[in-house]
Amino acid sequence: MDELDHGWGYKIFKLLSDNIEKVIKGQKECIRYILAGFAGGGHILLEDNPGTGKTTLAKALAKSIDADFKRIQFTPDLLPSDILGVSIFDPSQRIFKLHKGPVFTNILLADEINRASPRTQSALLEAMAESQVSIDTKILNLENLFFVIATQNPVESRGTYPLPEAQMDRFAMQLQPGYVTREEEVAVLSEQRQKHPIKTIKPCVSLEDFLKLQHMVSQVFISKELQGYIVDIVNATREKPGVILGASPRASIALMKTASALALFDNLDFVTPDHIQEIAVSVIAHRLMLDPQSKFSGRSARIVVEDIIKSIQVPV
Amino acid sequence: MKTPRFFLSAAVLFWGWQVNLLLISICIAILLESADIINSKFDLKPSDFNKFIDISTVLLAGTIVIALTIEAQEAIFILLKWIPPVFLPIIAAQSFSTRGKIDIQSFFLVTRKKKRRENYYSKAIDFSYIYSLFCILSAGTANSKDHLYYICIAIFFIWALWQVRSKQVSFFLWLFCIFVTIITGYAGHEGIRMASMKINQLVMEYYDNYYNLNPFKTFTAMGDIIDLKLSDKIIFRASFEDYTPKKTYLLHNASYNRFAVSNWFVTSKYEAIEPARDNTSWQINPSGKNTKKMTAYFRLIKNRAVLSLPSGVVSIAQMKTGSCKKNTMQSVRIEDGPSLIKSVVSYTDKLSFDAQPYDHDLLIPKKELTAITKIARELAIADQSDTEILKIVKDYFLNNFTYSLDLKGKGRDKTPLSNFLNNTKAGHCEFFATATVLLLRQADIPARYVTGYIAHEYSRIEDKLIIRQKDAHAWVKVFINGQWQNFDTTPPSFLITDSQQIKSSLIKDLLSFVGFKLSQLRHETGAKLMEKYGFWLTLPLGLILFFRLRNSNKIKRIRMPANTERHRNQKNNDLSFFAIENVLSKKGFPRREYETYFAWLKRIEHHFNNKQIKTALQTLLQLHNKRQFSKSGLSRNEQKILHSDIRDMIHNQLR
Repeated sequence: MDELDHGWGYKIFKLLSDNIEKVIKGQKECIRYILAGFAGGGHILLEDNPGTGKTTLAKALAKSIDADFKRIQFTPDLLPSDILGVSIFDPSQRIFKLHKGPVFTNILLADEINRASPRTQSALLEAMAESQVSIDTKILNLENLFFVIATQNPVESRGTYPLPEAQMDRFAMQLQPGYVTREEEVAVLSEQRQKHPIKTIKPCVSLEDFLKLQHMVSQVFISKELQGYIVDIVNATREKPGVILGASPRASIALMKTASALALFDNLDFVTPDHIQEIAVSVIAHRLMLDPQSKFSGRSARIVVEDIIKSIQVPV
Repeated sequence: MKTPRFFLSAAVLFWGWQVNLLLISICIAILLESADIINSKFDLKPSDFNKFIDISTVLLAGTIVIALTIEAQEAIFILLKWIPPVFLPIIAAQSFSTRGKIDIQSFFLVTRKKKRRENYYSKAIDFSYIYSLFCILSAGTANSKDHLYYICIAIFFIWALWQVRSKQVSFFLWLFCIFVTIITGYAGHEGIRMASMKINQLVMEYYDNYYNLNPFKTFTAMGDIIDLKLSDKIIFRASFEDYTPKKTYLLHNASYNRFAVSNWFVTSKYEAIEPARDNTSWQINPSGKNTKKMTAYFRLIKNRAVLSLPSGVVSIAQMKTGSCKKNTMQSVRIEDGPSLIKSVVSYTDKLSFDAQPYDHDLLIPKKELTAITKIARELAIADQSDTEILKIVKDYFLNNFTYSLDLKGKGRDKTPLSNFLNNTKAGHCEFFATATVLLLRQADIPARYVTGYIAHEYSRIEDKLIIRQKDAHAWVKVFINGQWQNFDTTPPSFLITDSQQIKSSLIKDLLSFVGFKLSQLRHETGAKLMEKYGFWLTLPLGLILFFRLRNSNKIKRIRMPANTERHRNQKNNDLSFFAIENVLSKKGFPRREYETYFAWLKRIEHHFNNKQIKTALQTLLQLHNKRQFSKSGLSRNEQKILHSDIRDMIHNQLR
């Protein structure tokens, strides 16, 4: 990859990021991470309170890329066929005709994923992992660019089916956008007096360009030393006392890919240890299962990962 | 964190010097220092450390056993004194191990059992500072009360703190703070010492006023003894060589010569007696002829006691005590010692060592004068010889007075004593003795009031005379024919009255006897046995140790490569960002191990006043990162720029 190439990748990121920021205020970091996950080919789980702009964020992203966007509101009575699609008999032609579900899209927003029954959840999660779905006997490939943003609401627990930790592993990272600062919220108010800025947003990157960006991420160089560093961090989660289930090799891969994407966004064609440290908590924490005692003593998985990073010597 | 070079051995030598074990400490110091010199180390695993810690534990247990049995009172000091050799195996194992640290889990049996995980090094600790602290603490047991110890400790702390001082603070400020701390510390400890002395003094004064059992008080009130008389507690045991059944012995505690307001006082000063070389023999008086022996066992109250002794004590042997003092009235008191004290007393049974009579021995207080002169006139003792007078007085009390433990107060008379003489004609020994002293003084015979115990009760189970609290007694010393002699006017029936009124219980006596035997076993027999065979008690401990260590695997010996850290830095010195890290960390901005250069610079950047340096460092870091992590590395040109910029940064900008 020559000099021009990763400059181009940086340019694409900048365009996207600026475009989304027109709609979402004060979430620069979150946008960077979402794009990193997206460019790295992973899916993202947003866990935050209602009304913090999760859906808007996903919409803005979809609109910016000139890509197909669908949204599923998860409810307890949602069935797998509501997501994947269903074959219906066409009496005029006397054949079964497949009606593709919302999963056949580029960007899928799975709102409140923890409200659906486990059966429906796993239908989606399988589609995410395999990039293909099987309806009846046919196996259908999903779009080349397939990206899921799932949201989860942490405050309500009634009538929810929390995603098991093993399923959480399917998501490349879990993000918590959080509330914005006072000034930023004031800016949001004044902007939305007439109409929602999402209406004005225009696509700035073509689908082809984004696929190229994804390809470029895989071309970013990561040294053996840093690969070792990633594995050290992920390995440490498996041996840390108080953790029942550590992170999988899938976590190592996700960490490498997202760190590579971050490097590209920083206009570099190689990963530095800073990129790994920057994203490690978001990539690893949601995959860990803590033992009840640690949970009770107030240790969260994020703190555990932070501790692990602090206990490992970083290559410099 | 490792101690500075030579710190550990200095602490060990300090210990050896303070507790007079210099030779041992030199050996330990050489051993520990040699670890730094010798290149090859041992590859000790946590399980191997467990074994070394086991050795120390067994040594500790052994030391406790020996210390307790040899010298129970001093056990804690003996233990503290030997702390450094006890923990030597641990520190030696650490010094000679490749790891240089000990897993904190190894120290506790409970934590050892847990499943061992490889990634536990973050919990490893360096034992060397702890060991140094042990040495300093242990040196404190020598308790040299001069300032040297404080100065040495201050030096050690400065030495240790010097290593970890923040380089962001100027040297003089640091020194100033240390100096202030030392001065404050000194003032503080001096203040505490003085406050404790003052409080001690206040408490003692209070104590003197309100607590009758204080053995060291220099006065006695009438009625003190009757308080004692109400208890049948056995307070000491004695055996006499010349004991024949029914024989009684007067054991003297203290003599008093001034009487005022129902109190007896004495003004004689106590002087210390130096022990003989074995520290247990005390020459109380110049040697006398025809000495007899008494062996007594008693306990200290509040770590002190006034000895109850027969007349004419020459010397006391086999008495383990810290200090022994006597006054001219032949009152002997001791301080410090084991809880049960044995003494073998040689005595002449003559009161030849008491101070010669002087004017105090003839004083009669004005308040009592009327009653005394009246009786003296009645008895017509003025013209009699001294011996005659004694006989008359004795007969007078025997025939006209009765013994009673009921206190009658002073009634209509001026004083309790005159009430006793004029009205009640009944009382206990204190009244008889006081009245006799004053009566004899009226006849110009010097007399003193004596308190002590009367030993009369032979216990068959113990084969000793047991002396109970109720055997407290008061009598008179009288000076006739150029000699002091004991003179007791209390009717002899008092012993019978006492035992009728204050019943002793067999069970209590037996319990007391068992307690006494146990103490004796511990302090006398035990100590002797320990001296001879104490070493063998450590045998079972040794066996345990042997079995714990038996299955140990062979420990690998590894030649250490020359200090890798230094190597790496030297290699890269002047060439890369490592050099900048070195310079900045010497200036007091060390990078943490987990921090990337970027995070590190971000953390410390507010310390740089110059904005140029900040941006220059950032550019350098980008080049460095490219060199370290990119596929292609740096081009020749970039390499040149990196080198020259770093040189410039180190030699000019960061100055």
